[in-house]
Amino acid sequence: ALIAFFCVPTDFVRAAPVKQFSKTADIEISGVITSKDDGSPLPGASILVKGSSNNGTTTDADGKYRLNVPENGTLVVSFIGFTSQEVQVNGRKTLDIVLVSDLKQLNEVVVTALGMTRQKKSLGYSIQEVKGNDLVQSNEQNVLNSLSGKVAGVQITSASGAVGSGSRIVLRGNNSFGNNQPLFVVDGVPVSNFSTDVGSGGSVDYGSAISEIDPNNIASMSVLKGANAAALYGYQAANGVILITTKNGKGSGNKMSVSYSGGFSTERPYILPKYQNQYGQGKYGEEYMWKQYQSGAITLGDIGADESLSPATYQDWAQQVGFSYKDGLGNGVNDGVDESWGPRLDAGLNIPQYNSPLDANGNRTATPWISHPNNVKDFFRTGYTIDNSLAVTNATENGDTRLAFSNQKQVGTIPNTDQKRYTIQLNTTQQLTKRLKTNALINYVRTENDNLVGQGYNSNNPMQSIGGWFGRQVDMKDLEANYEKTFANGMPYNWNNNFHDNPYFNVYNSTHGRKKDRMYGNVSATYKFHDWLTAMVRVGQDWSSERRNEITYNKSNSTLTSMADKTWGGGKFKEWQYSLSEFNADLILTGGGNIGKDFSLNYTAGANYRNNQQINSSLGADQLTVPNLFTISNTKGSPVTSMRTTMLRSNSIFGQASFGYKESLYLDLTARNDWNSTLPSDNWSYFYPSASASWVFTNMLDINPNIIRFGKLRASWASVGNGGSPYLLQAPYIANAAGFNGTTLYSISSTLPPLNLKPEKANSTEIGTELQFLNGRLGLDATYYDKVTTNQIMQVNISNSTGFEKLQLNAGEIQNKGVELQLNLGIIRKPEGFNWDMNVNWAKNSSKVNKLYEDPVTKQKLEAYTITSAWSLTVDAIPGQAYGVMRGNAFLRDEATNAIIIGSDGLPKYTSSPKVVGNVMPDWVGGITNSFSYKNLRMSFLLDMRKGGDVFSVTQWFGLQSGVLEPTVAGGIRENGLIVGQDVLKGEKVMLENGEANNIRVGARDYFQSLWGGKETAIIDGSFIKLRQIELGYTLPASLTNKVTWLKGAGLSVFAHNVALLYTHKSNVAHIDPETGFGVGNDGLGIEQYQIPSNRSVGVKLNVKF
Amino acid sequence: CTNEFEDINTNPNSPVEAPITNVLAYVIQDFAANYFDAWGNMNEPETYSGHLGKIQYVDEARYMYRSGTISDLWKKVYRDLKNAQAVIDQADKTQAINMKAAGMTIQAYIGQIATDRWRDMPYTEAIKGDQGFITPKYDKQEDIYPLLIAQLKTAADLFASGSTDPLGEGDLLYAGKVANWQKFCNSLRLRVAIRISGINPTLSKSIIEEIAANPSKYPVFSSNTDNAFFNWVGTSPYIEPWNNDFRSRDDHGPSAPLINTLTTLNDPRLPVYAKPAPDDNVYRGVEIGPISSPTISRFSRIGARFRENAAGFSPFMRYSEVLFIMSEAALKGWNVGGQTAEKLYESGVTASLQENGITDAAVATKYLNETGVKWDGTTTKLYTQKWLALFKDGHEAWAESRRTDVPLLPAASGSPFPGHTRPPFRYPYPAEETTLNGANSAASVADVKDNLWGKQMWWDTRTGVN
Repeated sequence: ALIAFFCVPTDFVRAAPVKQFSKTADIEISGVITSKDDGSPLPGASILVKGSSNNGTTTDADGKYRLNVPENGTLVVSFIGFTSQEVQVNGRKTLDIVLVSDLKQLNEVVVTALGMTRQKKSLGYSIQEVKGNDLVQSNEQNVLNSLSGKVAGVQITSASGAVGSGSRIVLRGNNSFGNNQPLFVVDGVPVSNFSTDVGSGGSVDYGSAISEIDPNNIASMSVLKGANAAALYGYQAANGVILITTKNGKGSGNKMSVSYSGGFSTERPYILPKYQNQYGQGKYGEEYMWKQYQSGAITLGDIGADESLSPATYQDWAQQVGFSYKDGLGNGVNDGVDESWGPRLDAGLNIPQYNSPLDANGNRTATPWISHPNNVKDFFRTGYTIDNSLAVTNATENGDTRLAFSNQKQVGTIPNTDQKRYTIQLNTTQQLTKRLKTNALINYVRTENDNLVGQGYNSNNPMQSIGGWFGRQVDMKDLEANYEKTFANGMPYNWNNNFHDNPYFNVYNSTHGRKKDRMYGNVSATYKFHDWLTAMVRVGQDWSSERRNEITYNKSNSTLTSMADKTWGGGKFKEWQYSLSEFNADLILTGGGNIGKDFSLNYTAGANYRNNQQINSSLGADQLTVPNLFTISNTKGSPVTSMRTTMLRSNSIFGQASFGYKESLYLDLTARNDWNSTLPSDNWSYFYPSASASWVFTNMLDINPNIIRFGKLRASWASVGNGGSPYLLQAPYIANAAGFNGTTLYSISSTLPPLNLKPEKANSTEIGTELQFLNGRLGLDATYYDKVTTNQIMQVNISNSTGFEKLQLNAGEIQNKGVELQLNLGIIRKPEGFNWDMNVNWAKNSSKVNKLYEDPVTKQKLEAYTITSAWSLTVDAIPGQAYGVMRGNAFLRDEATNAIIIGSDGLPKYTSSPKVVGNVMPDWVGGITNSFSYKNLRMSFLLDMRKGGDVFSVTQWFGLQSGVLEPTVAGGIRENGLIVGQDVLKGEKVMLENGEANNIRVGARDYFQSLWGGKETAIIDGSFIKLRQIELGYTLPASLTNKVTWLKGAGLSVFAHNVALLYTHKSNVAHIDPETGFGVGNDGLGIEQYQIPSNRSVGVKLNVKF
Repeated sequence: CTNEFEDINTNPNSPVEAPITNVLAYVIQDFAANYFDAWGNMNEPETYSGHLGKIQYVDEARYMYRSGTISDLWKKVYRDLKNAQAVIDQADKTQAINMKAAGMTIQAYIGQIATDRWRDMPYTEAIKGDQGFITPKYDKQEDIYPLLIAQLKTAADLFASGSTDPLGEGDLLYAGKVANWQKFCNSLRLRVAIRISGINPTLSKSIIEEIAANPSKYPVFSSNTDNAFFNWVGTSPYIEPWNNDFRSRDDHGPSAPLINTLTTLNDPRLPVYAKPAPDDNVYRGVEIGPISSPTISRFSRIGARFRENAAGFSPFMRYSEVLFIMSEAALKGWNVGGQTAEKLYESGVTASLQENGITDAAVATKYLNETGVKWDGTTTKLYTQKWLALFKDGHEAWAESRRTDVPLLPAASGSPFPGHTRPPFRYPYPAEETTLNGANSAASVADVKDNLWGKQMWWDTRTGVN
């Protein structure tokens, strides 16, 4: 909700009441200062009598003030982030004042590197802050997803609608061939964003560590997009930094206050593929083939059917040639296939099916062959999310404390998937002496999942069968009702026993559970020697221990030991343990002040020690002696085990100096030197500087403030180094997971070590401007950047004929150039009435690969780097081309006319080597937020959009081949056959090999199955417009809450998140969510494989403060 | 403060050096696992050679290969060649003569199978990524074969030198019996030689005659106990791959040409190679590569010896193959140590029967007198018997059927590439090669037509086929 109970005053604002400097006291006036946005009281707001220099006060923790003023005086009320107001006293004794937030705060203070708060105007680089309130408007539990559409130049890809999934976040494009994730810093100390690779093929997505941060505890997030903003965090920050500041107890006054926030929402899938409902399971059951047979155009042998048959009616054809169930293993007529090219549905046919009754001989009887149009939809259920958060805050003159407890429970839309999370956070600051301050931030997070669904092209993803390889006639409710049963022949109850598990057997029995305990936080002591010297010592630790348990029940398809004899292996399991530790110790010296009247100087010098350790191990069994007893001692055969430890250390020193002149010219200089254990000793030390400048020209030039109220130009240049990951320097021998009869199998690492690894370097230049027009009602923030990453430490795929699969090296040069725009419009501004604000974010980034690698010895050059691949569709980086070129086999085309060449069989021909078929990078991304308010009512909605960014959709590719998708029946093609170029591929020019027009009629199955030969029909333009969020909120007016002494505020909001997909490109014939990916790494870039449908969330949120 | 850095960055998980015997073990096991399983053997080599058809999921049998499989097999072959090279190099350093010879033998064995699939491929510059060859040039098959021949000769001479260094626990093929490796090496020399007997008979003859003339220096397999069979553990993850596939899939059946041949010849191996169709208990082979899968209960399944033993074998090379090679050489009039082509042929057939558990001499004699079997001095019977004996060794069977055109197999009726008269000539190159080694591979890629045809193998002297 928008209701802010916890204002976050900056260090510039004293929260506690300060001494009053009253002069003559004509009358005493009192009242409450509240925020227009959400009605919350504003502690620390300043009230000054106009014309006096020292008659004033600030509000207390509840936003209340009391002041002696001249009877006819004028109050000037101001607060950072809000437009100042002048109010005539006119003899009133009480005066409540509502402040309207400033569109673009002139004196906005933002959190920058190392947790330092800085005036935004003094920064020579782009930084964008999102307030905590904006993150908790819906029940979204992954804080990254809440950022979507709110920050220019940030691309967030939510992996799927599965509970617990991670999200990939990229700031300003892909700088790197490898990891492109930014660094996450909580209250000044880096924290882990550990995730395990989900891979392009997919597996279970256990999310990323950053999603464990409870949005309820976040006061603000600062997005430092470029290297410029991040120079002080060093090598980890090459892809930008996201600084998270958590809530503290400041501003709560000298008494304890308690606040509660609760949300409830329900979730339903809102983007499902469009399936056909005209033809069921089988092969060649389509009416067209029957007609062809009747007319003598084809024989049974032509389609692989038994030539001794003689079907006389379509019913005969359907049952004898199309589909007839015997055992789901191929012993009936096409009953082993998982395609929907069978007989026509709802046409009065009767066909033996898996759930048909048995006759006296044990054979399935023929039963009505009818459609179940909602069968996929029926699989999903309504999920829900409950979010409870309780916080106790207190502040005294010597310090403040906030203790929060929260729990979230999510129940997924996939049956039997869930997530529970418990968070305890303590944030306490104590001013021990006048000079010594201590702060402790401690978070404990427990995450529990009974089951997370498998994803990707994977048998433990239920969408692989029901969403892609499916009999469209199957009744999902029947599968649900019987999933624990087995057939008379011993096989599990399912529509197909050849390839798939019953989807309910899958989600109820083959589970992926997880328990994770995480403690993170930091403790610091700050001693102020003098204005010119403050020293801080800080120790931060992020520690987690996680256990994952992946279970496959006996009688899952993958536990078969003999399909012929119907024997099973008793089940399988794998249990993983992860132990992670990220330790940071910092010593930071700061100081600053004014030099003379016009100059200011602030400086920082510091040192960092970082130690990162990761340990993981696994135990598992492929077969079990006692079925479904998942213990290692119950293993049949040899257990499957693994262990791995990695460690890295770095030491750094850094410094920053900031010069200011007349509050209008600023210059920042930074320098850093890192020593990384991951590099060879000659190279483990490296240095990099940055410089940035800001010129607030409206403070220097005589410009009419009614035209340009605020104007700033900024420019910066920065360099950031990076040392890579541990153990890259040698090629070790790798042992197979299991020995062969006790003999260890050792092979040379498939990754070739580097010759002389050097630190990588990213140099970026950025210029920008911030402008405010029309008295602040129009604000513009524009940035242009150019970033070049060189000497990148990366692994590249090399030709396997080298004897290796990957080469670890310093290579490459990627250049990212882009523009980011933010526009703030105060369209209607009536402090006491209707307000309409609009915020527009827009960013365009182009990534180009300038260079790859040339071997220094042989001068052989790498021609391309494959970022990821699936089904031989590769996503490549090729020198001279844009990052993320997609290549795959394509239609064979005539060089002159670009026409698709059709073979003598009437089907398209394909190239036998890959061609460029797309690019994964979007042209631009943007978001538009509209906010309306009227008195205590607020409404806002967010449109989120992307232009371009191709996706290879396996759902579409295979869904066309398997005949489940809607286009496979469109236009009567299963009744009449089709001519390529007329009935399908309509927008394309086609021609026969001899140049003549194509008039060869073919069966629909033959055409759609031929799409296997190329990838073009599976490349989806990823453009979309989504109505991301609608929110409607109401805050109890302060006048009301003032009357109830124990109630300090209350508000209620209703919201809908992921409301609608308003636009998707016409190439998306499968109708998938074009915003898709796997995990947080590059592995799933641009590849969609049976995505778990995204969810719409609708709910309410209540906030109460006592 | 950097004094602990080297310790910290020392990999605690994996050694920088490993005992070479364990690397040899890796090479043997990895090749067996990937080149004798459903993907590397049953789906394509065994269907292209005419041994098997697919009864479900018929794609590969009708030439709809999975591109990922091609990439994977390409990757595995070079991984194994590279690790074999590591064995050779380390053995060379430590003067471990037998180990070096075994490394060279297994490397050449793998190398021949690779070039028989892809024809031209990186060879002289291959597996030298660590020497900076990151885009190795392609060598022609006609240049690769002489290297294989030379390498095997060197290995044979090393074995003959009588060194006593042990192969260690990693000899998963012969449990440390160097004498068997020596026989395997020389038997392989025969295999390589007979392959090029059409294109370069002079060289072929000289190799075979050299071996035949000096059996004490260059011994070859002399009984089925010498067979180069890789035997599986029988428990996961080391389950015989055909059996492993059969645990959850029932996709393959003996082909119509195989069943028909065995039936026509009254071959006693029929019930060993195949099981009758479940529906009517009749031996019925499946068509290789129709457009669509049949009702599978109407068709025979693969015999239990080959697919139903978790601790079964992967046949690298057989004794009977050696006898058939010698027979063919004798038929050409080459000196194979005084034995006649007919005798060698009959010994080959008998050895194959014995290998398949048919040890009754009377049965063998009766079979050798069947009309379709009785020696008549033609290559057709010789090649047919060799083809039958090679069951489960898809690589050699496919290569030999391309060299000999026996049995005469048509292209699959369900082929999406109309106009071909024979099963595939070759494998396509993996898509990654056109990306990662594009300039070097371009010429060879251009030789490929419809992915699986185009330029014939150097040793494939058939004419008028496509």
